[in-house]
Amino acid sequence: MSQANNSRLLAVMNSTIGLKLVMATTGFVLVGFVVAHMLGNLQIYLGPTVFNDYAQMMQSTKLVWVLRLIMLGAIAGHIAAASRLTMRNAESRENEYEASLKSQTSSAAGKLMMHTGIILLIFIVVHLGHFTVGLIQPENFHFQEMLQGNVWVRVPEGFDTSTLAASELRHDAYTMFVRGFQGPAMALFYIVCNCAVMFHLYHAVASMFATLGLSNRDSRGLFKLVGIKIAVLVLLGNISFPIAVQLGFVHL
Amino acid sequence: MAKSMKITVRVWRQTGPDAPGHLEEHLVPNVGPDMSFLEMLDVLNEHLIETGKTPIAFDHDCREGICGACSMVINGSPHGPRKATTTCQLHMRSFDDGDVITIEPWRAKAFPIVKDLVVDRSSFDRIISSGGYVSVNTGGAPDANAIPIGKADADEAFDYAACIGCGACVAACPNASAMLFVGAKVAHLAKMPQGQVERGKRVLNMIQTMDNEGFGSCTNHGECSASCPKEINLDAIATLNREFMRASLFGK
Ligand code: SF4
Ligand code: FES
Repeated sequence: MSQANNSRLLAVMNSTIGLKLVMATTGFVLVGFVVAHMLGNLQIYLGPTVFNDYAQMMQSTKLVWVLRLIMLGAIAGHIAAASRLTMRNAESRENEYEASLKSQTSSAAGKLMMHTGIILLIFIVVHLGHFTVGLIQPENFHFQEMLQGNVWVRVPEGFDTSTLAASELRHDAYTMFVRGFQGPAMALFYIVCNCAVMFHLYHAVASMFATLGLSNRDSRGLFKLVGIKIAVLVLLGNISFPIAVQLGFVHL
Repeated sequence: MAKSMKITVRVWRQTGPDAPGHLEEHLVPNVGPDMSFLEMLDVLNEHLIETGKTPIAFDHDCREGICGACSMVINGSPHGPRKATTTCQLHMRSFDDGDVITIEPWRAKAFPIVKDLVVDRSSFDRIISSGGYVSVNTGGAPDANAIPIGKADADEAFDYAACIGCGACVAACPNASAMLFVGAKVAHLAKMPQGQVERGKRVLNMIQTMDNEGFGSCTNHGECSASCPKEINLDAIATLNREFMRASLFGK
């Protein structure tokens, strides 16, 4: 790339609209992931075999690493652009109004994007520690299933698996899931964090379409409605998991 | 004659750009419902002059809703409570006997206060001079209809051209963003054949100036359009984003 092109790209990415486009495109990736993640996890209601098949399928493909890298990149880009924009916006009005501005169109969800975003970041870190790497509550993480004939069964406690081949063992994500949500405090944490996700998405989806220049006077209302529907569906799907475990609908 | 009202105003007083400001309270005892808001301030100013005090400085020019000078935030609403109405076109019948009205200047880093309610809006002029024009060869005036323009395009361009550069959008925005104003200018000229030559350069330069002047960025709340006396649609901002992407990607 030539020097001129380089500096143009830099100028574009440093401008407020360039940064907003970063917010919108990374946001698009993240919203897509959150929806797919919730839909995939609905398989918990189909029992341990289906759920663990799904987990095994996700683990075995190299694609999962590509996906993880994309997600990390999207999160990093989203946070970097958000911090720069928030700092700029904080400086754009040095003295506040004496009689505070009357809101006509803005929503609480829209005004709290930074706050819910920070909750989301904490949530993501805890969630990865909990269910991806098993650093939080490791006693619930390291469960396995073993192949007996051609069915997968939970490895009984105290069973020596050292004689089994790697292909005869797999992570028991189902048990991890159930155990992980059995603690009421953890279940509550997930429910609260998912309310933050809901608030974030409530403003994010319509905002994304506006920033990408895709909405106009005829479609703006529709995008807003789509955004609210996505936000509510993701909330209902995700909080159903800890609730179902707490109420004993999903059990070991 | 219609009944007269007693109005208490709490008005921002500030002797100069760097002086500290404060709200000052005055009773205006004889306000007619048919007075405009500015006439009410005229009456108050006459009283202040008669009693040897400094009159309140405020901007005004046409007093018919077309120049955009009469900037003030009335009870937290730029140009006051009525939709699609400039302060000079606002009448005291929109208020009730005994009301206490808080009057403040536009508040934005890019609009520094000159005195009392008067702000310096030359940042808007600098945005315009960085691209809000079309270059035309000098010579005899061309025929009005030498370049035919489709009705739909002409109507849309005209809607955007209705912006009077008042700055209420900036005043109303939680981020003091100028995107609606810049969007209106860019969208107006992008619709016209005369605007095509400088189309790409225009949007990039105007946005760079907008950023340099210290305006904030859009978070899609929509307060600007709701406060705009000319009802510039939020489509202006979506168009601005599109024009920006087009210019950054294709350089035109
Ligand atoms: S867009 Fe509306 S509020 Fe903003 S400067 Fe133009 S007329 Fe005023
Ligand atoms: S004084 Fe000109 S628009 Fe109000």
